[in-house]
Amino acid sequence: MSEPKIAVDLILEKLAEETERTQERFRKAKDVLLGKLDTDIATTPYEVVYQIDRVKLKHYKPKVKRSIKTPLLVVYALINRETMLDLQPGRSVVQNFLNEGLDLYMIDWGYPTRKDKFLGIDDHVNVYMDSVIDFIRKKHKIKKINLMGICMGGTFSVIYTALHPDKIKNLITTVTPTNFDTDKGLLHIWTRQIDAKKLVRAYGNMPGDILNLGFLLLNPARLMIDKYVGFLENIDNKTFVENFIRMEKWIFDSPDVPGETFRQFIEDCYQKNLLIQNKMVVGGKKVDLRKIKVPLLNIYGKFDHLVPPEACELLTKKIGSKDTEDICLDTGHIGIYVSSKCQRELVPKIAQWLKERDKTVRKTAKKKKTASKAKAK
Amino acid sequence: MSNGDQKGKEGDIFTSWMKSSIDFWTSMGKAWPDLVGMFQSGNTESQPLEFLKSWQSMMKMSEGLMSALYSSGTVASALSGLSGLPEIALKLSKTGWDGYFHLYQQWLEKSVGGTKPSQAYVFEKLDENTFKTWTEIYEKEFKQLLKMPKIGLSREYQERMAEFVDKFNVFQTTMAEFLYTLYLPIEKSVQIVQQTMGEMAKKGELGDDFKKYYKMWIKTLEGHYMTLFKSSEYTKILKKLLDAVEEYKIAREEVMMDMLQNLPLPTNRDIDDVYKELYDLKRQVRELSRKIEQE
Repeated sequence: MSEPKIAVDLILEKLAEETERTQERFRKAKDVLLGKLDTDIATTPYEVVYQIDRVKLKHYKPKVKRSIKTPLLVVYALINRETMLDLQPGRSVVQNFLNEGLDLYMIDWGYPTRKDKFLGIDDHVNVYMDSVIDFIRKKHKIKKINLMGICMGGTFSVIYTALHPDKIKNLITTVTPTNFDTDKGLLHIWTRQIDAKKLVRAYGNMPGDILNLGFLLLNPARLMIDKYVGFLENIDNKTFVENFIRMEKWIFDSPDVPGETFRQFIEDCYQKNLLIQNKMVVGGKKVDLRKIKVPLLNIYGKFDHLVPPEACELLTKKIGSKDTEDICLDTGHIGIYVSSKCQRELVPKIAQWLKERDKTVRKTAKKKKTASKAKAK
Repeated sequence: MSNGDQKGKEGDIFTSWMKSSIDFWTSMGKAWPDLVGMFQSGNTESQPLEFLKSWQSMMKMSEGLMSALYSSGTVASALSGLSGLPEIALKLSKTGWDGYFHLYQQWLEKSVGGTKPSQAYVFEKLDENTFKTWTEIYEKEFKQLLKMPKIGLSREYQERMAEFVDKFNVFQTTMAEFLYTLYLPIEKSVQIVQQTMGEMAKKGELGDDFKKYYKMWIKTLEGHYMTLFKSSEYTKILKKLLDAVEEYKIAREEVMMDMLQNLPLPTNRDIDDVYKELYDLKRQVRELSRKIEQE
C-alpha cells in the first residue's frame, strides 16, 4: 500500500502563520483584558417600589409618553435572573418596552436561602404575585393589569390568571411550558427520572449550580468547549469580550430554587403533566385553564431546546378565551430576548397587541361614558 | 490472636480500604480533566470543568472527614461494638483486596495515559468491567462489614457512620461511571475525525486549515452527545448518579450533625425546625390579616 501524500511543507507553513497570528492576538488580548471593560448588566434605571420578603418589585422610569394605559408586569422564572431582559444598552427588552411607551414593572425574585425551602408554588403565585399585583392595582387605581410571564414565570402567570381572572386584563406568555408530556426536549426526558423529594431532602433548595450544570450538559460540545474556543478566537475584540462577559455574568448568576416549589414543579408538571389537564392544585384550589377568558398572546421559539414548541402550543387551545394568538419565532430559548432579529420582532409585536386591546377598552369606556351622559341629559 | 489484635487488624483493613479508596478516586478526579484538557483547543493549562472542580472540593471535604474518622481510631472504636470478625471474613477481604489493587493498577495506567495503550474496543470493555468489578468487590467484600448489625451504647452513631462510608463509596463509583460515560463521545469523535483525516490523506485531500478539522470534530462530538443523552442508558446512569449524590449528601450531613451535637452550635435540623415554624406562623398571620381586612 502506498503511503498517503501529505503536503508537510504547506502544513508547517500554515502552522507557523497560525502561531504568529495567535501570538499577535494574545498581545492585543492583554490590552483588552487588562483595560477598562464595560460589562455591567441591567443598567436601565428603576426604582424598587414594593418588597415582600425576598421578592422585590421594580418599576422602570418611563422614557416616552405612555402609549398604553394599563401597566405591564413581567414575571421571570425562578431559574436564572430577570437581568437577561436588560443585558446591555441596545440589546434590552426592557428599554424597548419603555421606548414603546409601556408602564413597566418587573418582579425580582431575589436569592432564596435555606429559610425559603418550604415556599411552594402557592406562596409564589397566591402570596408574592398576588401581593405585587394588588400593589400595582392600588397604585394605579385600576381593577386589572397586563401580565407577561417568561418560562417558569409564564407557567406561574397562567396559574395566577386561572386563579385570579378578575385581576388580569391581557396575558402574554413567552417560552412558557404548560404541556410537559413531550419527548422533544432533553429536560422533559431527564426530569421524568428525577426523585425530586429526595433531591430536596438532600439540598433543601435546588442549587442553581446544579441546574446550570444540567443546562450545560444539554449540549456540552457547544456550551463547554466551542463557546470558549470562540471566546479565545475573539479575545482581542473588545466589543466581543464585553458582550461575552455580560452573557457569562447572566448565565452563572443562578439563584437556588426554593425546595418545595422545585418539588411541585417537577412532580406535578414535568412528571404528571397536571396543569394542561386542569388537574393541578395550588393553594387548595384546582387550576382550571378554562377560567382564563382574557386575551392571550403565546410566543415561543422554534429551536428552543429547553421548552420546545410542543410544550407551549397547546395552551391557546385549552383556555376559555377566544382571543388567542400563537407566534413561533425562528429562534431558541434565550435568543427570543437577546438576538438582534428577535429584538426587532418581539417587543413591537407585544406592544402592538397590547395597544389594540387597550384601544378596545378605551373605546368601550368612552362609549359607555357618552351613553351615560346622554341618559343623564 | 487476642481480641484486641483482631480489632486492630479489622481497623487496619478498613482504614486501608478507605484511604486507598479516597486516593483512587482523587487520582481519577485529577486525571480526568487532563484527558479532557487534551481536547480543549487553546486551553493548554487544561482547566478542570466546573463540575469537576466541585467534585474535587467535595472529595477534599470527604477526605478531611474520613481522615478524622480513621486516623483518630474512630473506625476502630466504631467497630468496637462488634464482637470480632471471624478469620474467614478477613481472608475474603484479602482476596478482594488483591483484586482491587490489580484493578487500581489498570485504572491508573489508563487514566494517566500510561505506557501501555490498549486498543479502543478493549479499552471500552475494560472500563465497563472495571466499574462492574469494582462494585462487586465492594458489595461482596466491604459493604457486608458496614452492614453488620451494630450493638452497644453508640450503635446509632456507628450505623450513621457506616451508612456515610457506604454512600461515599457508592457515590464515587457512580460519579466515575458517569464521567466515563461523558468521556466516551470525546474518544469516539476523535477516532472518527482521525479516520476521516486518514482517508483524506490517502486521497491527497488533506488541507492545511486546522479550523476545518476542529469544526468537524465539534460537530461529530455534538452528534454523539445528542445520541447519548437521548438514550435510556444515559437516563439510567444520570438517575443513578443523582440518587447516589443525594444519598451521600444526606448520610454525610447526618454524621456532621452527630459531630455538631456535642458542640454549642445549631444543626441544620435545628435550623430547619425554626424555619418551618416561622413559615407556618407567617402563613397564619397573613391569613388572619386577610380575615381582619375583610371584616
